[in-house]
Amino acid sequence: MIRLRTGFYFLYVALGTIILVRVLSFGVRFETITGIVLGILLIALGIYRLFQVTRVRTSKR
Amino acid sequence: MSSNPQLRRAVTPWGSFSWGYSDVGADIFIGLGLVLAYAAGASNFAFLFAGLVYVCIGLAYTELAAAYPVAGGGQYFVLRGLGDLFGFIAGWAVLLDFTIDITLFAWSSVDYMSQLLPAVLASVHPWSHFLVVLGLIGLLCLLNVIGVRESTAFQGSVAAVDVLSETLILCFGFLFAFQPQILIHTMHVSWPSMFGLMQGTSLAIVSFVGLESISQAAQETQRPASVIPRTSVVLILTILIYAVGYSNLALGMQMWHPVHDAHGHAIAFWQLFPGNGDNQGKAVALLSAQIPYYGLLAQFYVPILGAILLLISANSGVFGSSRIAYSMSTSKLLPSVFQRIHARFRTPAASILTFCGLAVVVLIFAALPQLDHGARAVYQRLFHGEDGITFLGDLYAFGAATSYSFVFVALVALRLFDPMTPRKFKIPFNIPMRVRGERVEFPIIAVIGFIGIFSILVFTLITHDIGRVAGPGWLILGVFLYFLYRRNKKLPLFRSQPHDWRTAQTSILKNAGELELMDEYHANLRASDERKRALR
Repeated sequence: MIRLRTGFYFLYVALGTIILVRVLSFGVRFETITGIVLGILLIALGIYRLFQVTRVRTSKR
Repeated sequence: MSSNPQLRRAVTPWGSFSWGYSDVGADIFIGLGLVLAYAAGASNFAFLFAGLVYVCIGLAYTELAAAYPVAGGGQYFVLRGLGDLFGFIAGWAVLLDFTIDITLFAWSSVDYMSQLLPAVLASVHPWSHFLVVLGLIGLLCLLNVIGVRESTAFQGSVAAVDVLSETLILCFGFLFAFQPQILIHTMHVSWPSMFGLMQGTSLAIVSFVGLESISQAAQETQRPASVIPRTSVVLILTILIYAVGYSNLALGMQMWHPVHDAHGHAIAFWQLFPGNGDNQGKAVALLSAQIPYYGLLAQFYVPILGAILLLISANSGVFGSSRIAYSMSTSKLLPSVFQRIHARFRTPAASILTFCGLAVVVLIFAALPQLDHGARAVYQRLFHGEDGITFLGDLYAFGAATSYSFVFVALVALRLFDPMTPRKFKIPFNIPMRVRGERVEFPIIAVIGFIGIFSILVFTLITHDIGRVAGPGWLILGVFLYFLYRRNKKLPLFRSQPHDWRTAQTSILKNAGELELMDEYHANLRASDERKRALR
């Protein structure tokens, strides 16, 4: 279950990175701001949850 | 029925998340189509603005629900912070919201079902649509009278499937359908007027209503001071991601199966929504069907998943309204009939029946223009022909913006005048100061959030014909009934009745199983009393 959750949140980080790269290829401009925010949010939530899941795994050991 | 039994603590951490998620998570299923219809090329900005306000609201609710884990949520916080009258007004606004929630989500649930069964449920058959929504409200009423544990387990499973599904739609969408150049082009060409932007932004808040459910469930959550902050932070971020993600995808997607207008020109995805109430009610189903490859599967299961999730959200409305009424009744803001707990099922059955009845009245008002030509003409003259789903969206936005505005003010008041209550989670960015000899922290985020949500309330009043009339009308009616009730009970009308908050807070923390926090609270009180004695 923990492995599944880890994989799921890796997906968040990967998706966030892809969005950020694709949107930033058009530069930082008014129209791309929401895309940049979205990419950063996905990466932030992914990393935050990965830390939480890792902590649970450590405490279970 | 008996008035002695307490609500049972049956909601686990995942249950607490899924209560909130199934309410807020379902909002995007409705909000997306409404916002695309009005904010057009600025939909992503409308969602981002409303989303940032929602983050402030979420943080405020997280702090308050962890500190005061009782059924009643925002209403209870305002009661403690600002007194009886404002507590009633906030609670009455939340009651409007949850009553609308029951009807709006049941309505949209049928819209999603109609994607698979267009011959039976589409609005070309307004009576069948109306009767199915009516039947669903009746079913939810029954489910809630029976008990919370059964529905929580079901909600948990659906919430898990939906988180996975929404994430997969975003993944496939951004990998195979999203073209940044289309997004930029759409935003350039289809940027709305200021009026449209305000209208879209006020409707975008519809996508972020539901944290109330977490604080509603706080009284039934195990160890709420620890659980609520954990679940809320993840919930806030998840919902914000979905709202900003879906709106960007909708504006910048290359449709897998292009749709053409009457002249044979291919149209952009967002153009499916303006002036089309049917499409507005099932936007996520339409979007998922346009995602390359995954759309093959999604076009079949997303309408079903959406319908179930929306139904669960309507269920949260029944749950929420009955719990707020319970809380308001125990605080002598509503008659005692609302705090009666069913002896067998231990649920507030009288409240559930009342608010489901009100939801049916709202449904009749919303469906009337479709059911009767005469009524349609009246709506056309008075409200510029707003359709049923926009009518419900207007009132939903009004109720949410009003209650959230009060919650921000209550948060500031409680920080200043009740610093002794332990706060396991505190909103960041505070200004330390002294009030009445106590060290307190003034929350800057609450001020920013208040400005944001108050501007959304103003947008709602400026741009929505029905919200402008029916929203304040509901509040005036409530205040009138409140005065009537308080006069009959010989309670003060404008002032608050005496409350023993110290005993109440001790009891709240004890009942929540937060014994360490209870000890901390007592130690804070002793230290405060000693300081005051020393000053004398």
